[in-house]
Amino acid sequence: MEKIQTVEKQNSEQLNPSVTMSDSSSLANEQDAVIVADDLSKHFGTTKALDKVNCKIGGASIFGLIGSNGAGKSTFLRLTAGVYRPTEGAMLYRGQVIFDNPNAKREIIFVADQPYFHFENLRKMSALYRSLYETWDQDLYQELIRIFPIREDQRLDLLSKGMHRQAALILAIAAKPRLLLMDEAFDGLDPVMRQNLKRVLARQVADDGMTTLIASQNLRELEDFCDHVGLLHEGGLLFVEELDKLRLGLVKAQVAFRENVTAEQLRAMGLEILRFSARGSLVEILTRNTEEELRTILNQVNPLLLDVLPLTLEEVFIYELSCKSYIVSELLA
Amino acid sequence: MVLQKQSDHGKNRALPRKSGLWWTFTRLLLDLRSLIAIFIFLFLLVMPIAMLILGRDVFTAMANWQDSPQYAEYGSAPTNIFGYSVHVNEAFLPFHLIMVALSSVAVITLGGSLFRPLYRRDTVDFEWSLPLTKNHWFLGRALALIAGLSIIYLVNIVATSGIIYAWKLQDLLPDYLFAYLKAYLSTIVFTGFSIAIFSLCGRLFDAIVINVALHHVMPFIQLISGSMPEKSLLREIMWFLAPAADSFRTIVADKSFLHYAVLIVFWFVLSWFCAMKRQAEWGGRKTGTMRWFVGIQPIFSLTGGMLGGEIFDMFDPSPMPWKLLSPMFFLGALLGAFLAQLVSSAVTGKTLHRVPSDSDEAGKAKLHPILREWLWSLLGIALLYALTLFNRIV
Repeated sequence: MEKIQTVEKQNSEQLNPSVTMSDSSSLANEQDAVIVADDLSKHFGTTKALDKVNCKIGGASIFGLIGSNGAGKSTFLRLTAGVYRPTEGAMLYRGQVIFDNPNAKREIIFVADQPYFHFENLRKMSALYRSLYETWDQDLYQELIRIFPIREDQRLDLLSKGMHRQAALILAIAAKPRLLLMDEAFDGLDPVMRQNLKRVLARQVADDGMTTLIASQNLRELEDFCDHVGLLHEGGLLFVEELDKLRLGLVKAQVAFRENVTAEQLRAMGLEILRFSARGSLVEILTRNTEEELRTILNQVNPLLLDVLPLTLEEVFIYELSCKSYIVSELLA
Repeated sequence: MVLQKQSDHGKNRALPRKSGLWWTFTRLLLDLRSLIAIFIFLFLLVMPIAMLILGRDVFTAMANWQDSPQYAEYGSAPTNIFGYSVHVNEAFLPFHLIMVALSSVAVITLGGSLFRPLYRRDTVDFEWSLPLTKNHWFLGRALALIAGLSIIYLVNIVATSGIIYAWKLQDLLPDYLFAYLKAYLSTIVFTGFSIAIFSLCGRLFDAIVINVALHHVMPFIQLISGSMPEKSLLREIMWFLAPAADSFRTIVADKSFLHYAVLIVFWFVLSWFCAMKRQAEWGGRKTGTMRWFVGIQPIFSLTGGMLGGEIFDMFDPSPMPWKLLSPMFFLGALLGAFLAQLVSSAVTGKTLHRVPSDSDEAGKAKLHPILREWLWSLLGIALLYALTLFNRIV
């Protein structure tokens, strides 16, 4: 199920903050795209928060938007929520302009980094959401307040930051939006609540076809959860890719050889090595081969130990982007 | 924890949606209910309750069927909104003036409460992401404010009329009702003006300060500029820019219904335009300094200059026939204008040190903020002399 694509630009091979990367193999139909950013720019005075961003996000997916502070993540979310008017270009939801358009916004809910509650407790807030969103599901709401333990009559202004976020998420999810936007969704949540949130969101995506767009600085938060990721840097979208595809392209293994084996020897055997680092008798190898190919080649040298290790999203990004001459530590917090 | 799949999506759905404008209007009016109740009480206190405390005998003694001396100043007897001459009894005057002052406070307080969300990052994110338009929010706020003021005015006049009828002084009432209606219309004019200021400002504090300051500045200029004729275009422009101050004249001023209608339409169209132009990113600003503020700052330096000049002129041992030529007046005006410029900059959070911006080109000469403040003060002085000269010529 391909959900994301970037718009083909003139020189897609050369990454540039103002030019998106294209993957022709992952192009989806124009009609499938839920969100389309078309040459989207947002300037605050002379500061270019976003500059000519092009991307398409498809339905029923969880899209992780990552980047360092000031990369433009929150601005992108606010443009998608219809809070900001684009300076140039357009932000479309199912082909409709989002800004000042209630028809589009009726299907979108934005959970900001600092959630705001107009009323003092969840009961009144749920009534407010219920009066605004036709899709509000009271049963789901009741279920969510059991999962996230907040009493309906509890004073929201006296709650902790994490509880605030839970309350905002309860309201947002119970309204059953077609598109849920979350800025730093996991900020302040304890590990149990993070897992609960991930499960609830995954279910909503699977059952109701909800699209979720999450902005975060934390790659580790998103890696076991998102199916697509995009990297924003200095107002430009550097990278958009399907996570599984990214992971499938790289394999990491820990090997202990009986005899001294060099990287050149392994390369000669057909291994496409990206990194070869030896720590004592243990060697860590990162390759572009498949796991099967890796095992076949390494078994030829009869290793004492061969473990294929899981790759973190951070590692994937480091190797993908270092190929494009980007220093990842500068891009990510 | 097992999450059970929802199988009954059709049940317990949301309430049928009302129109966006009705939703915002009712929601915002409900939010105002406590403030409306407080102002109803205050209005009742300054008019019907005050009348009851004074008692029928004192009120009757205050009643005077002669035309108020103030009418003569304006050269004609006051008329009602349909153009008929009226004779408002002076007995109502003290209550009316306090009530008008309270109206201005009500507009700023209720307006501040309604428009506060425009200035906060979190509330802007919340409101602007809801399935409503900017028009819904603007009209909802404006109508809630008008409705709130209308309720306050209505309750007040019903209670006042009840007392007047109970005292069997109903003959006094009909003519006063026209003055009351004018006060109400004048309050609505001020509401439109205030909404424009609320929509333009970066912070609530600035909106209130500018609203209040403009209303003190305009009558003040009129009071101290003795050379200005009683009826002049310039004076009318000044009253126009201070609708709250102008509303004090409603009991005696000769203004037609059309006058109020035009002003209401003008200010509400202007405030709508300002609200539509307002951007979400203005919410959460650290300072209230906006580009347009530079345009109105000379008004403050003009007032400061006028005040400073008048004060220094009092100490002039050899006053000149035309005080604007007096060096003492000029010195006072210069100091007053500069101080007023600094104060108006300070309250809006404008700093007096260089703040480099991304757009600054390397090596490009830029005026120091203090020098710029001086130049704007001089502009205020130039404005003061130009206005005075204009008045003399006209």
